[in-house]
Amino acid sequence: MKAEKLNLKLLFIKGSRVVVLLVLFIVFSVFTENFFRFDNWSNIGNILLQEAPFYMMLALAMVIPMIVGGLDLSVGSNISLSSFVCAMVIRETENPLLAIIAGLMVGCLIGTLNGYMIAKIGVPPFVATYSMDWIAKGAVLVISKGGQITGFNSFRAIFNSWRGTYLLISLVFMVLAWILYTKTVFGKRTYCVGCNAEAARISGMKSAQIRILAYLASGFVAAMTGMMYISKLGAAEPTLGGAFTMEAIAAALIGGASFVGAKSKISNALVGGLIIVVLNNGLIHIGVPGVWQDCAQGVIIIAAILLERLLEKMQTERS
Amino acid sequence: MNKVKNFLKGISGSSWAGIALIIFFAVAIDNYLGSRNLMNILRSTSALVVVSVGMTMAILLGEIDMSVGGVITISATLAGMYMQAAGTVTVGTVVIAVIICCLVGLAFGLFNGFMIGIKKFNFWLVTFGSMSISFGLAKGVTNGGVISGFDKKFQWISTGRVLGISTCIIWAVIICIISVLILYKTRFGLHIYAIGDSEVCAANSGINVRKTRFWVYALSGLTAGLAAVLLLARTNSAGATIGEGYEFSAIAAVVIGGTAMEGGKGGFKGTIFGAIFISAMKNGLQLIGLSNYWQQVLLGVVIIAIILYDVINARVRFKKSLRRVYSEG
Repeated sequence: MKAEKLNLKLLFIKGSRVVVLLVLFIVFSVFTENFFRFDNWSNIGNILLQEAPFYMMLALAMVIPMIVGGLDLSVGSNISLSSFVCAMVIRETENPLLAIIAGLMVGCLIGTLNGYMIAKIGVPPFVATYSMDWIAKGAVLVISKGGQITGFNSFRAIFNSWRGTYLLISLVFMVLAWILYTKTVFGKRTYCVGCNAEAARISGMKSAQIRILAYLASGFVAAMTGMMYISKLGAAEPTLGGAFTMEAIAAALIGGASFVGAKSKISNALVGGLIIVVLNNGLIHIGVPGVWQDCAQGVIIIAAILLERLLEKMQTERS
Repeated sequence: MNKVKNFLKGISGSSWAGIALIIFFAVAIDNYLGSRNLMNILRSTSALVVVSVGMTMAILLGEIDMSVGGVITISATLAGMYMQAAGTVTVGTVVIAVIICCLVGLAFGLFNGFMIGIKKFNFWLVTFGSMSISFGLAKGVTNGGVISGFDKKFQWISTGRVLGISTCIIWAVIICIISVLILYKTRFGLHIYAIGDSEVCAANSGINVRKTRFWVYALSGLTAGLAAVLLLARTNSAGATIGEGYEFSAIAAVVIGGTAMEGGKGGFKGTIFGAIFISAMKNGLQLIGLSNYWQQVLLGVVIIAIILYDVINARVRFKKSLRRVYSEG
């Protein structure tokens, strides 16, 4: 009898984020008219197909560097820059495939530069990526001259041919990342590097290379997110990704990822992205005006770290 | 003479490149070093150097206060809203507006200090959270709009002149002197260096690490509030973006000034140089005719270059010292 109780508690601690997600979902369904009804799936369908994929991808782009004990503050401007380059290529060549490749290359380039500065030269991650954020933010303003690009229907057709494309792509990314980081030797090595980069290096792993690859993956995912986003929006703007860095961090943290290396999981990104989406949408339905959403994001970050501390305490008390 | 030498030593080697840049501007632009333009540069430095006081202390601890930009925004916004609500502006209203700025800044500082210093949360998360809260609050209370047009009495704080010198420069100098005294002449300042060097050593030698850290963040919030006063009076408008980028500029000023990101090394004198350098560079780029966008890119590139130079330099020195140890051993 006693053992069963303990197990329940452990299950609660482990799955706390899922519990948070369910509680939020139920609260919003009960207290608002249009959030969710069994006879009205349109809002939930919208969230799942149109919003959740982006937040999940954003959180993924943040969680991967967090596994190696860093973070990526350039996600937002990476999204702006890569999506704008993609839009420019479409405008010039009308070739969507080439555009996607160009966009992804920009994202990978930014990611690699971040990783190189951090792993090879030894700049602290947040200094390196924050400076990169400013450079990319400025670069996209320079190449766009402050204007926006609209149109590119051939490109949008790829993503908008079916409603579920965004969700499908993000889930594919999630599953691939999950397989890569939990089921392969490379993934195990990445977690080792996140735990202790120096120890990993001494035991023969290419520590610097693995860290660079983590930032590269983050840049890749961010670029993909950016291109999905402009295809949803129908316009590429230089200030597109402004708030995304903050949202990515909020999503990753609320999903249970941690800045301490090797403690984050890919599943954190999935749950975190969903929680943020439900919260954002639910707050609107409850009647919180849009201008207060930014503030809510900050409160969420603080609440997430308080929750983290609480769970830690519960865990130590148990042991 | 000795003091001059020490001052020059406080500036990181890479900043000499910055001096070269200023010489370049001086050659390329007429009247760049004229008294009027120099005054302009100093005026635009005033708010930045005041924010950098708190940032220097945080970085000396080996940490960063990301929230300063947001704290500036929310304090300036609330003070501006108060003045608009008050209608007729008397000296009393101005004083209350200044006090509002300071109190709002201090409140955020105390929150950061409590969470980081006393409760030992990760500094990064807490200050990032309060950055997003403060920007969000400012956006919420202004409904995304801009407040502008304050009374001359309030504007005097930054735009007035005493003995031919702009008042904002005078305030900045006063605050700089106070913070230099705090950092170099008090026990509190010494404790900051000790903790930045090694927290464990500091704690073992009886320094109250929690209390020191708490007050560093509190002071950082307060200086952000003071900077908000200067900025609000100078720009004569407040909105959700007034303080945007100030955390980046402040970090840059501190790092250019030769303070090491890992803490314990550097000081406030270098930061003053760094802040002036950034303003001078922005001013020069503006006068040359580069757009805001290019300024942003170039600033980012220069800051990265300087940080890279310093990091690589430190590593080369470390390797050299290792070689010496091995060859002697």
